[in-house]
Amino acid sequence: MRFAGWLMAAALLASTTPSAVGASTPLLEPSHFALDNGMTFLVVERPGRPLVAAVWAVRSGSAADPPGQRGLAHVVEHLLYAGSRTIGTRDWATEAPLLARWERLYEQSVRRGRAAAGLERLERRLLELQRPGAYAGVYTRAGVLGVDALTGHDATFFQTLVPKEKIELWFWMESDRLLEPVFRGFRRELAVVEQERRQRIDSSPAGTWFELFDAAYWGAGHPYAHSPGGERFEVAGLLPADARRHFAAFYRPDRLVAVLVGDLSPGRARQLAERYFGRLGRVGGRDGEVGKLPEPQQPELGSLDGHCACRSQVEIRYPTVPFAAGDDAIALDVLAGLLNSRSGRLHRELVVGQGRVAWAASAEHVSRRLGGYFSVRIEAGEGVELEELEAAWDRLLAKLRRGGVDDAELGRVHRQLVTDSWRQVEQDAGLAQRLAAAEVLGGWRQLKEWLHAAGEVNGADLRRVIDRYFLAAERAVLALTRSGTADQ
Amino acid sequence: MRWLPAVVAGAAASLPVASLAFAQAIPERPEELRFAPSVFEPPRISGLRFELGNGLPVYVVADRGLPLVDIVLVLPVGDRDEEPGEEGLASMTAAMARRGGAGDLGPEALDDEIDALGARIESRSSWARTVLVLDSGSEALDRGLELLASVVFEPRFDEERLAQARENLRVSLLARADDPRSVLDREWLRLVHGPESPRSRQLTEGSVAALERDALARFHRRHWRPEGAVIAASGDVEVEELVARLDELFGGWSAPSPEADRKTEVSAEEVSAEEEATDGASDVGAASPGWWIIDRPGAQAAVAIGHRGAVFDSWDHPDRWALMLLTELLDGPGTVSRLRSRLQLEEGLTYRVLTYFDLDVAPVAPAAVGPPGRSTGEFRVFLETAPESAAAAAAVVLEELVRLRRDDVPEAEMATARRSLLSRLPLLFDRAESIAGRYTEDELLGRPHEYWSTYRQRLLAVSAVDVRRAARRFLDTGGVALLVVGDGNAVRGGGGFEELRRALGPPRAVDR
Repeated sequence: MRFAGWLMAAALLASTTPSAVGASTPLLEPSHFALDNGMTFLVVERPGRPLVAAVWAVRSGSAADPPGQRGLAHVVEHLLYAGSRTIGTRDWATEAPLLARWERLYEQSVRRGRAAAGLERLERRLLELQRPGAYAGVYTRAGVLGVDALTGHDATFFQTLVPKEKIELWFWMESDRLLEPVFRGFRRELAVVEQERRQRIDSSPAGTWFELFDAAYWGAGHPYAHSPGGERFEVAGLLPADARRHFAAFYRPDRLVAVLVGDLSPGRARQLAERYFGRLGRVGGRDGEVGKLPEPQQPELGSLDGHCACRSQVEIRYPTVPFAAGDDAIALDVLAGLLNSRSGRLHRELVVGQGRVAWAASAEHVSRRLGGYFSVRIEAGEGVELEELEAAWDRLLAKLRRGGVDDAELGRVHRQLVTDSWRQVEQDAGLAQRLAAAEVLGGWRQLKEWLHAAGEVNGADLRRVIDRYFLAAERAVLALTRSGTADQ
Repeated sequence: MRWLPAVVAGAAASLPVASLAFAQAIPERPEELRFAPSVFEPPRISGLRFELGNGLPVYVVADRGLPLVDIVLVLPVGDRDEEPGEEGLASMTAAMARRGGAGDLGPEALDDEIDALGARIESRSSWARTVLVLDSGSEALDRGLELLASVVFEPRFDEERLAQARENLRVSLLARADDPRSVLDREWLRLVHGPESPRSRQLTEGSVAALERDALARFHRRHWRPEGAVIAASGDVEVEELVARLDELFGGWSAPSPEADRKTEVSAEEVSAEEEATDGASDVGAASPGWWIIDRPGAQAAVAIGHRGAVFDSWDHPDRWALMLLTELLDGPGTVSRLRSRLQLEEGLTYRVLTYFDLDVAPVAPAAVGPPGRSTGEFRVFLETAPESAAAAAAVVLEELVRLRRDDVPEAEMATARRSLLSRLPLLFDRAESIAGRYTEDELLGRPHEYWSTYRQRLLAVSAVDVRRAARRFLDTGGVALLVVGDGNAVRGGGGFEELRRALGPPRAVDR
């Protein structure tokens, strides 16, 4: 089982915007309904497909981690694979009191910094009662594929590919773990999360620096200042009760979205949804009892210089707009398209042109719920100083300001965006993920409406956003200089 | 525009509401659910295969769902066709065919045209394949095909772009020790296949410098030929129209130089004659068995354990099917497999394990590359873990390999592995592109299409006895190589060290 890929989730959300498809395809016209408890369903019926791509998402991610508990959302995502009162146990009645006792001992151990007496013995006893991997086992035996989850900044996704005949199993399993999840195997799961961190961040030559740059750019305390992977020591200090609190606050039916793409009729989907997910409690309680998502705040724009065993490089970031901010965001997406690709400005002028300085260069517009930025990454060519990279970008930007963009260039970008959008939804799993991500962030309709709006972006729009957002005084820079290889 | 709040509640009325009058009870456990049987039948091949004027096979699978088309031309050419000293030539030829301009178009003009179509053309090569892909909107297909043909037949290999690419490659040579995983990949191949094997060849400053225009043009002339090539087409196409157009562009393609010597025939994975093998299968032991270590500081150690892959003389060889099941038992997706249960669920030692076992079939012999009867593929278990857990994790892997040789697998576990393998079959044929790709691969490998219609039956026929027999024959626990890239002191001081030392001997430093 591949558990959380939280870096991928960031990319998934970032690429939500350009995934629109022309109005011509019925694929982006899902049937949609909401249950009485507020849970939303989107269904795209595709007759003849052997598998149904089934995704559900919750409208919160690592940005909801409380101070001192960075990484909590990601840990909860992992724990949701530990099963329920039915799945993952040989005997819940016997396990439950032991588990409660284990939690008390574990809490003591964490508080005192050493293992409480009897903790390990109890753990061994529990392992005899538990069936680790049972959740995945049920799916594997039924031929369910692609069981995976992603924790992003603004949302968390749980995905599967289910043989169409067995789709009811998905409804059973997913509603079961939402109804009464049991966070067993807590300590083991923290160890796996730690391994994931080592693999994704620590083993990548520049991984730690990218993390530090996020922290500097957004500023201490900003919900996006930490990666979904969280902070190692804070993760190690988490308790099962923290995970349960997070689950209760955020995994409420009105924050859940499910998307099903495949050979399944909307009527049947609704029938099953009501039977199974209808069990989840209606939203009750007052605001104080439920999870509050943080409010937008300005980034601090901190810059950072460092050395690593990586190619020398810079990342230049300009603050832009949050996800829901209208036309500027779309114009910025189109601008990224204009800079990228082989015929794009970055490649032409920095990578292969006469005055080339770079080995590679790319641009990206990231817009999240609480804020966005435009990022340009340039990796240095042999012997090129970092200052030259920034200067080359400034020259490119000045030329863009001065000369604007002609229709042929803009037409090329439009056509590329259109086909790229189709490619992203070509596979059912891709379509399901993108519908879910769009719905979580701003409504599924933006998938198709984005493309229409992007097609209308003209030179004046690009000039407007360049003038408005690409300000020298308001940028942050990560500058990494190659320091040689670890084993040289 | 991008913010559409609360659309859902209002829209709910647009669906017919299913009657809940007969609401069924929810079963206590998922095992109580009853499903219609799902027996996946791979799509029929008939009507999908065409031949161009020169005999070049084309597989076409139409799907009008989205206005997208994929055209893939596969040539059975790759690194294996390089002579010593030519390392990098096959890949550079493939890359520069696309990036160095074609026909009347210089590199910039070609990029402009392709991008203006909203299309993509990519060209790359691997060990035994060169693959050119055109991926375009259907309205741009015609021009896209012309450009693809131009890239295949008239690449310009622009000198300036080539010089840049060479320079980039030279710099990346210097940086290749940055990533522990790529260090492991490189050294691992030498341990498994031996330093003299073509699989172990590495780029050198000299071979990079030799990647000149003439060398690329010669390689292109000699190896980019229609024999053995196959085209896969899928997506929003009129089948007959497309085949006719492909015939115009590729049907007259003939080899310019008959003296060109392709080293092998159809097999995807380069294999050689089996001089002594009497049971239709190859030997698998690693060239340099034992425990090897590359000492390198870092928070994480990369670990690979395994040996050569297996080669069979027939797709029907029963051991081949047994090994497919064995690999699934060991490390199929989902946590029911043995390595995942132990390393991840029970011990929390690793975030992921990756296992593969190359099970090649070589009906065609002889070949000039590699020692006799040996696969150029691998059996490999790869994982990453903290350096102090590396030995313990490797010991678990070794123990599981020994267990597969020693004990019969319980029937329940066999059944799960069979189901799990079978469940992935639909994924191999889940859309037009994969269907066309699958049948194209059959053609390239010489794999009969019936392979897929008998797949289910054959897997179901594999017994625990078969698995143990195959394990004894093909899991060479005495001949494994174990390579750890990580902090040597932490590895030596960690758990499992003594156990592993007893099994494999003390770790030796890799001579690099």
